Amino acid sequence: MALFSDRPLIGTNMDTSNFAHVIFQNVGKSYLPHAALECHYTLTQFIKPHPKDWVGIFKVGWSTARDYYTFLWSPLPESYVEDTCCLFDHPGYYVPNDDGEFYQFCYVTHKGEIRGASTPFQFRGSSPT
Amino acid sequence: VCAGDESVASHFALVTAYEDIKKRLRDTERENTLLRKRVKQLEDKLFRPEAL
Repeated sequence: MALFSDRPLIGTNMDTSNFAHVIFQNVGKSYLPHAALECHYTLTQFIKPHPKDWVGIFKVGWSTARDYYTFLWSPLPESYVEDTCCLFDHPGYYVPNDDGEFYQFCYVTHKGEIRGASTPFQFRGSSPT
Repeated sequence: VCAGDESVASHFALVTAYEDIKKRLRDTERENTLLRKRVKQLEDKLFRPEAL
């Protein structure tokens, strides 16, 4: 698609890019709205976690880190290679409803830098996969 | 953070989502084709058993 073909730099350097320092694992294609949501990710050696780093749920097509729908402070992991999990399950967390939109997780550092983005998912009332 | 970095990050995240949704569209279209064929087979079996 023409929209992306004129920006080859990003597509070809994904592995070494600053934006793939946090890898989201086992992201579902959809999640039940209003249910606890587990988000698993791995911190690569390229990132030094900070207590004020956070994981946000963003609507696909967001333009700044301030566009998050909801977020959680990222728990400090035991080691860099271990799987880190944060759970969106607090009653106060406002998770999107079944609205037909696509969302993705993004890892944001305490300085506001995006260091990882997940594949997209939807919130759907039935047949989660 | 400089605004340029954020704009590149936002673009990266959009490309990630786009590529994945494009792949899912291909998979869904493939499944759609299979389901159409299956429905056609079952219709033929029900309404035109002599044609089989």
